[in-house]
Amino acid sequence: MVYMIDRVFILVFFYTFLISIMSLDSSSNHPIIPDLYCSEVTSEVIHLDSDDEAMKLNVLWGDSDHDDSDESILLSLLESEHDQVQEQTKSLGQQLRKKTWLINAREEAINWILKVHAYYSFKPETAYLSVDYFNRFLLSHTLTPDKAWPLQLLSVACLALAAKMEERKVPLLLDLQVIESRFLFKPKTVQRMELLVMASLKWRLRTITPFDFVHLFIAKLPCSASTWRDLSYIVSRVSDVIIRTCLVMDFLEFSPSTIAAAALLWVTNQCADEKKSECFHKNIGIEMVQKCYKLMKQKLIIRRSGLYWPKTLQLLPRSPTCVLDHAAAMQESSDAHHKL
Amino acid sequence: MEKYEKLEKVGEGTYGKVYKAREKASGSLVALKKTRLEMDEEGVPPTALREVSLLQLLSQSIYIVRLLSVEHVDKVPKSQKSSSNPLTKPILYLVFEYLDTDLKKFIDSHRKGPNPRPLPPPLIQSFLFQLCKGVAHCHSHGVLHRDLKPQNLLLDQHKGILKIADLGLGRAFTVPLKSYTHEIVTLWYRAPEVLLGSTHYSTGVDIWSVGCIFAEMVRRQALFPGDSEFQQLIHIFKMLGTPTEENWPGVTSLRDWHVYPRWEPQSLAKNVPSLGPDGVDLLSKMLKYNPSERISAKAALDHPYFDSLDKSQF
Repeated sequence: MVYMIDRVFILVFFYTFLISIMSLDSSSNHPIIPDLYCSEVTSEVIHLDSDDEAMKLNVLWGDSDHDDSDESILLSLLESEHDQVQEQTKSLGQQLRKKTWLINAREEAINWILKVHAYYSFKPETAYLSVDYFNRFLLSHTLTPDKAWPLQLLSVACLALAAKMEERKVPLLLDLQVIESRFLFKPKTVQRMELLVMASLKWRLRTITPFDFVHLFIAKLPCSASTWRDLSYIVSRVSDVIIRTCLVMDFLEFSPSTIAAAALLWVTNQCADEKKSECFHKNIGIEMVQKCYKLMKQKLIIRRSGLYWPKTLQLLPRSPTCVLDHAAAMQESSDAHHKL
Repeated sequence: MEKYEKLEKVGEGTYGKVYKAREKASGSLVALKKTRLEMDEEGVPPTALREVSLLQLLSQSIYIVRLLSVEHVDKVPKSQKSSSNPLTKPILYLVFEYLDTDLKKFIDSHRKGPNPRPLPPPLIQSFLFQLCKGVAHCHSHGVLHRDLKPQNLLLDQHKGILKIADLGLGRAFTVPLKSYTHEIVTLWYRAPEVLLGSTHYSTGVDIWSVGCIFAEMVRRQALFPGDSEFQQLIHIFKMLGTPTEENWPGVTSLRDWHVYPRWEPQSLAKNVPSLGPDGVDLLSKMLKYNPSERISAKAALDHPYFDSLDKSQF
């Protein structure tokens, strides 16, 4: 019984929080007053999964100056993002498109990154950062199409760097390569590639990602009675969409905040409002969000069957051919050592 | 690295030795933080990655130590120089602007030695203001420092400048809070929510550290000098009173909470006797048990304690 009272208590606070948000949105004329005694609310309370869920609610409520601090965080992020985008430019997509072989090789490499990401249950940010480093490296380096191992080594290095930046526990460099790796690189070799990547990226590994914006934007959504219950589901779905954009080169022209905004609208089944000139913040252009949204509609649906799904992951059993692969990897690794 | 002349070893950072050096071309002094990469079979250490990338993001503020460059060298051991295939040792140097002392040494020089004396109140005000400026800059960019302590606050004594250093344990945060490593901040400056096993913490952990540093500048000795996590908590509870569900909702649910003796809060003013009422008020707001009630670095800059400070110099 104490448990139930605690849940209702949290629920009351959360509704209060939502209502206070609604009062800031002048377009909302129909605040929802929850009936805490109806059976629907009771059943929804029971649906709360665990203390983690309660912790999330508490965290949201705990920020007493939520609005002001959120707005200033959002502005800082957008300013940092602007600096970041200037450096990266839109030319990456254009450059990549000129090389047909690289489009396929890049997709294969990113698919590999996403498989390892799923295998170790890394955070979504880790996957996104890995691909960000990968893309930025390709922007500044020319790779020859005849050899496959450089892209594989680059994938391992980028994933390792992202994991070190974001994860609490980082697998050994050899363990990162357990999944479907055609080559096996020694830690020393990966280290050299890490250093090369970082020099290319000017050591700028802390980059703004769409994930930095998601919760700030969710706080700005028009509220509905079921929003609190769907929060973790929405975040999970938005994260999934954002990660999928990594596989489609066309998304490279959009800024992280635009991708976050479009993904959130996509998941919550809303259209970007034509009448407004801004979306979630005055610094985010509505036109780009609309364009990104449409691209999600086209690309992510059409290519759904081609995208990586965790459920389809099957670890290949080790076989005698592994010995040959390992020998080839050692040879390639030796070559890599000399060239680097 | 040919362009730098090492002068002397001046300390140890989070993950390596620190040298004072001179840039040969300009004659200016720098600090070289060294990381031997061959010691780590797992590539570049996360602490180095994080420090460099976070400093790239933050160094525009004059209250964060400036990272001038990153140098990667492959050192050839002397015993192998004649070898046709020398086994090189990769070393990473972070090149920082040089500052001549840190806050710990500065406080100690006022407590021991030939001329013990309090830190002048206007200087404490100035240092604290700069510290809050630096912390506000970190937090506004989504970065927790997580290891604020006097040793990590570098000083230019002549100019009266204070800068935050050593972001090797720093990391980015976003809303909502995430699960972070438990064992981080040096004990004396560690926030109670970390000591009680919370892995969901945020900017408040840095503010608590700032409060402890503030008190230490006034007292010239640590406010909560525990030598174990348990003793650290006891020190805090004896002075501020044992926390309750009333003043810190959720405290009894934290992982490492258990029944503690019920201490009553002591007068904070008595523990910083030379601090005026505005200072005591600001300190008390930094040392709130409930992290969500702790003052933010940004809000601290507007506190009346700084009213008598000439802010135009910052």
